Amino acid sequence: MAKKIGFLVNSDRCIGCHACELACKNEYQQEPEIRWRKVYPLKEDSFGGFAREFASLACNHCEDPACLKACPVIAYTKREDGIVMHSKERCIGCKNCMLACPYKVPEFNQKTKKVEKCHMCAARQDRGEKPACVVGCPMEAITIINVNDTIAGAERSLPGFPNAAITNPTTRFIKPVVGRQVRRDA
Amino acid sequence: MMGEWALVLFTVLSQMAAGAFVSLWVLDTVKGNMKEATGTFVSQGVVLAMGLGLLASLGHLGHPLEAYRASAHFGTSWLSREVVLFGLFFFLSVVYYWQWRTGGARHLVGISGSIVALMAVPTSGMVYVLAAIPAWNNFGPVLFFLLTAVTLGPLYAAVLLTIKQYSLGKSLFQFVIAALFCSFMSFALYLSLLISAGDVTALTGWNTMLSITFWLRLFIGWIAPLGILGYVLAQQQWHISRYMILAFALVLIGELLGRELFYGSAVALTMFGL
Amino acid sequence: MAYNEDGYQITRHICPRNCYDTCGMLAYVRKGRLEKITGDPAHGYTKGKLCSKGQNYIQRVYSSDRIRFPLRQMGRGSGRWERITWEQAMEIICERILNLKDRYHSTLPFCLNKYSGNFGVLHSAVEGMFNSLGPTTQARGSPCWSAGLDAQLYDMGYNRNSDPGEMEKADIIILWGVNPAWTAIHSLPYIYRAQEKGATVIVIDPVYTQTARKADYFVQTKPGEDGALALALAKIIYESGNGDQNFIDHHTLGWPLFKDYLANLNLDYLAAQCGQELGRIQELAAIIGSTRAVFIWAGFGLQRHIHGGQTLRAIDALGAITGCIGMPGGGVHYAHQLTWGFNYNFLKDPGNRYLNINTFAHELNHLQEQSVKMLWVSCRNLLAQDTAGKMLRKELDKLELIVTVEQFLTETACYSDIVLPATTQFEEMDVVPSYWHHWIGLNEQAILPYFEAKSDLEIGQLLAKTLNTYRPGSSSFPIEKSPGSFLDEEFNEKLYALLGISHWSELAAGPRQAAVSTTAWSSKTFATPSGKFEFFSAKAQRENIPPLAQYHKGMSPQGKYPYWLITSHAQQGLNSQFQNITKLAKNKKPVVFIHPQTAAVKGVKTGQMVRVYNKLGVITLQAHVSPDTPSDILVCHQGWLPGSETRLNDLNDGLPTDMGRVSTGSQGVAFYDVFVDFDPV
Repeated sequence: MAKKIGFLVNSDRCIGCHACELACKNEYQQEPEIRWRKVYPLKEDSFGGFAREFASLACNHCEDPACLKACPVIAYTKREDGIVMHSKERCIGCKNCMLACPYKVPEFNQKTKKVEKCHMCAARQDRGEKPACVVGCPMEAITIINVNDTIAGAERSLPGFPNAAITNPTTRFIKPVVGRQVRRDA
Repeated sequence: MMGEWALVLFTVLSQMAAGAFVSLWVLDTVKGNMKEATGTFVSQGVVLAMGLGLLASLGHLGHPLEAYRASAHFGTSWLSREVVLFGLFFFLSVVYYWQWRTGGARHLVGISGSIVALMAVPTSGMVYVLAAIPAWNNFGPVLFFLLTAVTLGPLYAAVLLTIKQYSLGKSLFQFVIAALFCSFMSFALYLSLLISAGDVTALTGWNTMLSITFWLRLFIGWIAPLGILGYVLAQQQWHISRYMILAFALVLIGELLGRELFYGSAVALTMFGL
Repeated sequence: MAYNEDGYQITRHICPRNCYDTCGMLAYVRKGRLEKITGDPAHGYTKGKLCSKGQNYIQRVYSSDRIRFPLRQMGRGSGRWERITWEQAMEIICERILNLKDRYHSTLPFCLNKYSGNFGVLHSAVEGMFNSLGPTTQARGSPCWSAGLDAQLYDMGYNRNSDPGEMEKADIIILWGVNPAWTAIHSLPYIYRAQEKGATVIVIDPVYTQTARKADYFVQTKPGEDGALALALAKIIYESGNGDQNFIDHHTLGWPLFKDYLANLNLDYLAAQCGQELGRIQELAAIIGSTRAVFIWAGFGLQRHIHGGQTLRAIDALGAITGCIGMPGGGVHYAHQLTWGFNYNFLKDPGNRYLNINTFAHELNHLQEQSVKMLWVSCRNLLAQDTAGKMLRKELDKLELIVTVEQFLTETACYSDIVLPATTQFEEMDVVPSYWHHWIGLNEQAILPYFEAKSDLEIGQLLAKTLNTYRPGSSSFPIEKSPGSFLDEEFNEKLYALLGISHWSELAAGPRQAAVSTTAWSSKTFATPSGKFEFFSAKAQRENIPPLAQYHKGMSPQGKYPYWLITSHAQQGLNSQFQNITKLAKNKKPVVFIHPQTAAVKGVKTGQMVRVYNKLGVITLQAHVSPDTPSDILVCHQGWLPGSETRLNDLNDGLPTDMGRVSTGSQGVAFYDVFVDFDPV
C-alpha cells in the first residue's frame, strides 16, 4: 500500500501548553486570530475519574475530505501522500469548506478574504524537515506517521471528537492514561 | 451566523424567481390567454429577482470578481452545481423575457427554464446537506427551499400579474394556501424531529424555538398570510387585489426571517464539546 | 549571526526570564524585522523547543502596548502621560539626584528596587550604576526561593543539582511541590522517558496540577505540611530497614541525634498533620524504600511557608536516609548556582544600606536614619507583586521621584513619575545562565531597539554621563565601555574552563554546558564545614535556626478564614509577566479555583464573581469550580492583567520564612500561608 501520512497526537504526553499552536503561527506568521492548530481540552470525565487532558489538532487530512468535495473552485487537492492542500490562488473565499468540515479546520482570513488551513508543512516535509508543530512540541507529543502502519495504542478517535466515519481523518490518537490519585479528601 | 444576509437574499430571491418562472409558464401554458405585455412584465420581474439574487450572492464571497470560477467543481461540489444551474436559469429567464417581448416562440424556453428551475432549487438545498451540521443533514434544506419556491414564487407572479390587470382564478391561491400549510406543517415536524434528536441537533432546535425570529416568522410568514388568504377566498365576492401585495409582503418577510433563522440557528458538530 | 537560504538573519538568544528552563532561542530577522522565533537546537536541555510564551515573543516585542519613548506622568497614577526626550528624562532625574545630594549630603536617599525581570548578567548594570554613585539604599533578597536555598546550604554546603537528564536514570521521580508541566516544561520529556524505562513518577502537591495529571501517583498534602510527610517517610523507611546505613555512616554528620529525633516522632500525628492516612504513607514508603535511585525535585512552592526551610531540610534528610544523594539518577534537587560564577563587578558594594525586598514598604517606613527620597525600579513590578500593597503605595507617595524602566505600563510604571522604555532580549546583548540546567548561552542583538528603548546598561551609562556633565565626578560608572567589554570583565578563567571556551564570543556558535558533574555530589564529599551531609548544622545554629532538620507545625486555616489561598504560577504567565500579551491570556479576568463541594456550600457556580477576603482586604475574582483543588484551598494563579484592580497579594501578610538570610540576604516570604473566606458577589 502507498504511504499515507497523518498526525499522531499523543494525548498521554500533551500538557496543553499551546506551544504547537504558536510554533505553527511563528513559522507562517499568521494573522493574530488565525490558528491552524488548536489545543482542545478534553472533557474531564472522559477517562474515568477526574482528569483534564488535551488533544492538539490541526487539519486531519481526511481520506474523504469534505472540504475538497464542497469547494466549488477546486482549491483543495489531496496529494499522493495524503496531505490535503489548499490553494490560496484558487480560493475565492466562499467559506463553503468551513461549513462542510466537521472539524472546523478551515479559517477565514479577514485580510486576504480567503480561507486557509494546515498543509502539514508540505514544503518542509518535501525538504525532509518535520512540520513546525512536530518540531515545536516540547513534549514530543505530535509525530507524523504512515497511517497504513500498525502503531501500538493508536486509535481513530477520542471522546468528543466528531464521528470519524464522516470523512475518515488520518489523525490518530494515543489516549491519556490517568494515574492513581491519593487525595486528602478521598 | 448573523451577517449571512448575502446567502439569505440569494436563496430566497432565487427561489422566488424560480417559482414565479414556473408559475408564469404554467399559467401561459394552461390558460393561454395572456397578453404579451403582461408576460413581458412578469418575466422581467423574474429576471430582476434572479439578477438581484445573484448580485447578493457575490456579497458572500471574499473575492466576488472571481465568482465565475465557482462552476469549476461540477463533479462533486453542490455549490458548483448550484452556480451552474442558477446561472443557466438566469440565462433562460432572460431569453424567456426576450421571447415574450419580441413575440418569439417561448414554449421551449419556458419548459426548459422550468425544468432548470425545478432542478436548481433542490440543488441549492443540497449545498447544505452536510454531515458536519446534523440539523441540515436531512430532507430539511431541500424541502424548505422548494417550499419557499412554491409559496413565494406564485405570489410574486400573482402580484406582477395583478398589476397588469390579469384576472387570476382561485386555483393559484388555493395552491399557495396548500403550500403554506404544507410549509408550516413540515417545519413543525422538522422542529420536533430536531428537538427529539440528541446533542447539537437538539440545540439547533432549541436555538430556533427560543429565538424571536422564529415567532415573528411564524406569525408573519404563516399565520397572517394563511388567515388573509383564507378569509379572502372564503368571501362570495372576492377581491384579491387589495390583499395581494400584503400577502406577498408577509410571505416574503416570513421567508427572509425563516432563512436567517435557518443559517443562524444551525449548530455544527463540536470539537470536544466546544 | 548567520544567514539562511530564505534570507533570514539568524541570531542566538536566551530567554532571560526567571524560569527553570532559560531556553535557547533563534531569532529570524528580515529587513530589520523580527519575523519568527524558534528554539535553538544547539541548546542541550531545551533542544530547540520553546514554551508558548517563548513562541509568542514577537507579539511581545512588537506589542502596540510597548513603551516607545521616555514618558513623564503629570501626577503619579493619573494616567496623564507626556512624551519626553531622553535628554529631558535624564535632566529631570539628574537634577533630582543632585538636589537630593545637596540637601542631604548623602546618596542614601537614592533607592533601587530590582529583581528578576531579566536575569541577564549585564542587567546588573543597574546595581553598577547605583553603586557608582556612592552608598545607596537597595532592596535585597528574593521573594522566590530563599528558604530552600539556605536549607540546602545547611545540609550540603552549596546549591548544586544534577543535570536534569539524570532523571532518566531514576527508579523513582518525586516531583514535590513543583509543577514542571507549567513551569519547566523542558524537563517533562526526561520524566516521560524515565517512565518509559519503568520509573515511577510521584507528584506530591496540595493541588492536582497538570504535572500530577501525568504522574503515576498523585499524593495530596496539606499546604506547608510536606515536612511532616517527609519525616514520616524517613522514619518508616529507616525503621523498616530500608535506609542506606552505608551512606549514613560514612557521609553524614549528626545522625545519632537525628535518629533519636526520628525515633520520638509519632507517625499518626505526622500523618494527620500532612492530611494523609498513615496506610497510604506506609505504602509510599514501601515504594520509595524498595528502590535505589530516588530523584526528588523539590519545588519552590513547598518552601513558601513559614517553616519552608525546615520542610526542605526534612526532604533532604529523607534523601540522605535513602542514600540516594550523590547517586546517578538520585538526590534531592532544588536549584543550583554552579554556573553563576561571574565576576559581578557591578555588585561591588560601596557600603550600601540594604532593605529586605520582601518587606520593602515596611522597611521604608521604619528607616532610622536618612529616609529614601527617590526610587529607581527595574526588572520588577513591585506594586503588582509585593505584599502589603496598600502600605507600599503610602510609602511611595512620600517619595520625590520614582523612575521605572519597563517595556509596558505595568502597575508600577503607572505609579511612577518617569518611565524609561527598556529593550527586550532581541534588542541587546547579554549572557544568561540558568538555575536548573547547566547551560549558558549568549544573547545576541537581533534587531534595533524598539523606537527609543534602551537597555539597562545603556540607561546606566547615559545617566552617569549626564550626571558627570552636570557635576563631574558624580558617577564612576564606565560610560564608554561596550557591552562586549563589560562581558570581557564579567567572565573569568574558572568560568571559561567550566564552559570549555577561551572567550565568551565563542558562545555565538551555541550555548555551552558547564563541565560540572552531571550527578550532584557524586563524590559524596559535601561543601559543608564537615565535608558531610549535615543532619546537624552548626551553621544553622549560628543563624539561630534549629541545627537539626525538624518538623514544625505549619499554619492552617481556622475561625473566620477557613480557606488557604494558594497563589501559584500561571501556565501562560511568569510572575507578573506575559499576561498582558494578547492571545496568551486565556482568562480575561483573574480566576479563583474552588472545589465543587466548597462552591456548593457557598452557592457559587463557574463564571460567577466572588469576593475573596481576609482582614487585610478584599479582591474580586471569577469563580472556576474544579476538583483540581481540595475543599479547603482556593487557588489563584498569580499574574498581572492591565487595568485589573485585583492584586492577590493585597490579602497577603507577607510573613517571613524561617530561612533565606545566608544565600539572599533576607528571609523569603511565606506567600502560601494566607487564609481567606469568600462569598458570591
